[in-house]
Amino acid sequence: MGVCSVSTVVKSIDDYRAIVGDERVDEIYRLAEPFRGARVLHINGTAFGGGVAELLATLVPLMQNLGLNAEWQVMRGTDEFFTVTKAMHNSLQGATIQWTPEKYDIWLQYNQMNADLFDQDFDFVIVHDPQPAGILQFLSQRNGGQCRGKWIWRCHLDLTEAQPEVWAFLHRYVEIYHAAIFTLEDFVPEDLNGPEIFIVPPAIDPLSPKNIDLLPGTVSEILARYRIDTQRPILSQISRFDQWKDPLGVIDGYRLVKKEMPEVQLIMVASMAHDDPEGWACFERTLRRAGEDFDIHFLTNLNGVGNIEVNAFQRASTVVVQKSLREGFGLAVAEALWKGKPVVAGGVGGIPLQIQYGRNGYLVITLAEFANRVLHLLHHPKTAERMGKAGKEYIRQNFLITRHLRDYLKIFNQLSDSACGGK
Amino acid sequence: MRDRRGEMKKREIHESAESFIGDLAEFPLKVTPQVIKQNLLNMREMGGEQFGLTKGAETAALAQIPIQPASVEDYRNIVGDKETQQLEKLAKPLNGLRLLQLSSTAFSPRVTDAIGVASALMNYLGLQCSWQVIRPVEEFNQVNRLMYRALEGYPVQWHKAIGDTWLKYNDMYARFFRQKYDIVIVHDHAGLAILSAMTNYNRGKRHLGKWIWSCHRELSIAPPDIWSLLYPHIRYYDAAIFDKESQVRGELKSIYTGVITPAIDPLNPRNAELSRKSIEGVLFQRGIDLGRPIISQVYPLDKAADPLGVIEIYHLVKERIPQVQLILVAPPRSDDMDTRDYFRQLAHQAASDNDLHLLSTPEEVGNVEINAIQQASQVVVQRSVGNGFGLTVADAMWSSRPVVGGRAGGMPLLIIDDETGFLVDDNHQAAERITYLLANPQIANKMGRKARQHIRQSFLITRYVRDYLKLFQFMLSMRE
Repeated sequence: MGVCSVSTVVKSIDDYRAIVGDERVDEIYRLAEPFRGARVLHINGTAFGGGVAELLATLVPLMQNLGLNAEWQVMRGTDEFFTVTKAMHNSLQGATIQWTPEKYDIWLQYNQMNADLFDQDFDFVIVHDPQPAGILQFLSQRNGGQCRGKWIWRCHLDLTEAQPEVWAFLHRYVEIYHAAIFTLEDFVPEDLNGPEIFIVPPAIDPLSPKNIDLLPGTVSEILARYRIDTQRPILSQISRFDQWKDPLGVIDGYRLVKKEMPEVQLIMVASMAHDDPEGWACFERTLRRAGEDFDIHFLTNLNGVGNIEVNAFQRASTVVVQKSLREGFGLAVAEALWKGKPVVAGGVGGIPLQIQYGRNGYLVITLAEFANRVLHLLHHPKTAERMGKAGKEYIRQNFLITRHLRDYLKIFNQLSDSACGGK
Repeated sequence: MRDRRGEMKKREIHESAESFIGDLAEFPLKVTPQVIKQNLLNMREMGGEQFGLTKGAETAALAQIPIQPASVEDYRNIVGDKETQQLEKLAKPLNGLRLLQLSSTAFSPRVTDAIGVASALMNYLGLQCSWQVIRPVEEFNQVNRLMYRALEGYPVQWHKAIGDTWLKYNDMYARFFRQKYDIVIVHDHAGLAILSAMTNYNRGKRHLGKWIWSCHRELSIAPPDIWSLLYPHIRYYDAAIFDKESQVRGELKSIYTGVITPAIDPLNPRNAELSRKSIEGVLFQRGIDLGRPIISQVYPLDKAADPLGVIEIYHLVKERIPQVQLILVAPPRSDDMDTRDYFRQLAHQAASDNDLHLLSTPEEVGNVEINAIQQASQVVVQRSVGNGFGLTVADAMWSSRPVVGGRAGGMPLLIIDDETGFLVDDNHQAAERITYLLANPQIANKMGRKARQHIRQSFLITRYVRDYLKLFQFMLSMRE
């Protein structure tokens, strides 16, 4: 066994017929047919927490269900590695760090170590984000420049404001991939010329515990358990705690709303990830900003808040907010829209793709705009409801996992046809 | 110097990649002379200037956690007037007492109950509680985890650097500690040495207030390395409190030792009753059949907890009751590579059996789901708890479930054998008891009712608060 396999539950593509319709599901079957038995590997940095892990937990079993020999492995690493990759992650999204030899040595060492553990052949290897991106380089060195299968770098980050020296470093390692997938056209760096470029926005799984339908009774029961008052309006933001999700801004915006509508409550749910040491510091600062306003409810997976709870909190919300200053794609927005909630969000990353201004939510820049739009929706429940319905339909058409799966199959198809190397 | 160390590390990694992976705990620690300064710089770099992380905030190494208000009145219906009146009586002479709870984390359901809810109830009763946590700094966390593992009985290659780093950070915390409390409770080992360091700063002068060390680990079996590190610092305390008698170590005679058993909060989302409809809805989406018997086990996935043992038990039960299902909730401890490998073995077994439901991250299983699973189970199993107490069993008992538990950890305290469930010594015996309970639902239900009664009497948070109030009175009556 190579790095570290993650086992997933069994899923069936036919379960999605009732949600997306027969036509879409049949198309997926057709596209998958040529890849029955194809060995597909996904590698990422963590099996626990975060959008990528969540995505793979659905995508991999669905590929298996379609007859692909799909597998998910998590790279090996320790805190020192994840501390470096977190800094790297931030710098690739616009923060400035000291990119020292110490840091990149650690990144290289762990990538080499993981490459050394790599002992199988695959037809397609999809490497997610920068953490394991160096494995291919070390592997092809070992094999005298040769590497079996098609290697795809799946970048979930927005690289437009990447710190130049960090990107220049990473560039060397991703340039040799056969293909690279980005979330948005805007995220593709101009100097990435080696790999074939594809654009695939991510998607949500309507059958996961986070998104599956809950009975209204269950929702209010769960809210009561967390001592949240369902009789009063609820705002919520579900996100990791980091500076780009602007948790302090959310609290400030909520305070403006509360001035006019004192009964409003705020739920902030953070999925705290192990590879995110910075998240802890940010969480603490947010707690301090909230002070002793106990209408602000802080909840995390580490306090036992699971996906069923997150699902219930979104369904109980009057308005969902996502006040991000920078986003990869912002899947939390799709989740909220899928639950029929209007969303007020920062217009960054993939959020403008999901929110059609005035139809299913609002894109805002300033704190005043944020508060105004939230208040508008709180004051006009009919508008909020209409927007919620439009939002759900929009997600059904564009951002469910079935569309994502279809995109991957199309890419496999295209790469198999292309001339360079291959099966 | 740095380069040579880097070289060495690289070589070691490549020479023994497998063994390195096998035990993270043996990874050589990085210790530099300016370790604290460097880490604070790292924190600033990673945290971003944007939040105005000022110099003052940086050095305030202990962070204040707000305590959500709670009311003793909310518990009156559950525990009865007598208990709440007793709490009020005990708290009266402690009115205005300034209490600090100091822990290394604010995030785990148990910590939230034991510190957050207990402090909130004490506040309601007129005390002035604060809660501070040690600000997470990666290097200190790393040392902390190694120490936890050593205390849990895992082999840890001891390294002088572990103790040195631990002391350095405690020293730093002590510098910034503002003493203004009548009583300080330090939980576990992370901040244990703050007291000794402070005393040293004051040139040995006696600090103000009473200090209590609350230890949740099996100290009696602590390996010599870690024991000799901790012991000199424990001696500075006025009292040391343990979860159960067996944890107390003989050498501790020089200070007062006591036992306060842990407890559950009946109002926690993990324990509050759910409607049948909600339970059905939650379990249905997991593909669990409520029409057939369910046995379940919930615990952190950990080698010490023998996760494969429960699968053997399930197979034995299934031989006689083929329709039985097992739900195994095993959230892996993500900081621990061992458990990931264990999870792999488990998942392998679960993959081929539709009646074996293995629930875990990444679809995080939260309080509500665990609650629903326990309430839907005919019998709850706890094969082993390692050295932990096993409070998840108390959750299940509070849901009126009979529990079949291995004779270990807190099981003998929680389970009254043959009354609230069964204590067992091996997998065959466990399977036999479970089969018996599944075949005799009336007996199972009767035991379940007794189980709830037992928890109400001895393992609810109000009893825990009561024990602490008594301890505070005793501490204050001690001579300076």
